[in-house]
Amino acid sequence: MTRHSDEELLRAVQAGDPDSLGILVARWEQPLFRFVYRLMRRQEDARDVCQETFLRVLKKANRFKTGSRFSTWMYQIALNLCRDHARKARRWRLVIAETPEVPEHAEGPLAGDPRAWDPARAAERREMSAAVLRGLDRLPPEQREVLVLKEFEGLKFREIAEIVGCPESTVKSRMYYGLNGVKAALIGEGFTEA
Amino acid sequence: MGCKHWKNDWVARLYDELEPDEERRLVAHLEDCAECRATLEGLSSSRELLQEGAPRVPATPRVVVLQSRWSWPSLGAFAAGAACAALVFGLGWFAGPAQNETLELLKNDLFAMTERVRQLEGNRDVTPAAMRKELDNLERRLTRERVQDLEQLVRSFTMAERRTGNWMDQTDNRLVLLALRQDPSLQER
Repeated sequence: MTRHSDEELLRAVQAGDPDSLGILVARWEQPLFRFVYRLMRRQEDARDVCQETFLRVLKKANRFKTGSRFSTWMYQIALNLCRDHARKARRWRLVIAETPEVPEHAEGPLAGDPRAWDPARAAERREMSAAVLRGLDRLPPEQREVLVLKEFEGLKFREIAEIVGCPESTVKSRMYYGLNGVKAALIGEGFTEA
Repeated sequence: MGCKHWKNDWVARLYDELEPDEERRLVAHLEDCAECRATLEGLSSSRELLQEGAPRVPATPRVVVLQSRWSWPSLGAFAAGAACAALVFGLGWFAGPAQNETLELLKNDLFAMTERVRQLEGNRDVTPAAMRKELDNLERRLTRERVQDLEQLVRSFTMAERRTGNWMDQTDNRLVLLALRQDPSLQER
């Protein structure tokens, strides 16, 4: 079965084929939700932003420039929605990291083997995750966005520069200060040494 | 100044995104610069900490693509639309000019919701459970985004009621005084 590229699927959507949108959604819903959740950290808000992102992809499909990458465009839309949401969310404060809902033994090479679950290690990992989230929280938004896109989504610097709308050198600079910022936060909480 | 001008190259090297000539230049520099070697090692350890403490993401909710088809509005959607129109008209009557912008936003949301209900009802492939879920999402969004606006509108209603009540009280008093002037015997009843 031929795997159509994102750009081919989007052209089909432009031509009025709704099934192609379904394929695009199924392909990108997980990476998109991961990215948005790591920025917003509220499941409900992340779900709304993801839904709105796909709606905008549908509505603005005819504005997609030939030669561009679909993923870059999609992430741009999602990032702008996250920023809009953060501006409007004056009643909400992101203070406490949400407790991960996925049990420790549900992921990784030992997935499916409950005997492999180590409660002490799990607790340690949860504390570390919470500390990393607090460290990310303390970063300026532009550094946090770059860090999430690079470290957790694995995008290239060139693509990140396109998404956030600044030169590649600026992205790398933000990454440098962001990495140092998170490390400083973890040193402050005693998770590592200088 | 130190070696800060190498920071972009450090970061690029960390993620294997250096061009070959850039890589050669940096490697040559690293051989002679302990400070840069230490900085690169520090960045590498930061990355390890991030990977170790990578925030877990909950299970991704499925995004369902619902294809809307044009259809005559159902009785339910029509009633919802009429109720929304009545509500908005009623709010506009009481809210006053100062709340017009708030009211406009609320009106847009209510009409968008009504339109969505109409689309969902027109699509025979949508299950009742999917439709309920969609409506719950819409309602949550409306509630969250407009709760402050709604609170403001409720305050306006209360103030309008008070004003109206006050006026009515005053009118009552005036009417009583007028009646007593005309017929003082009324006071004895």
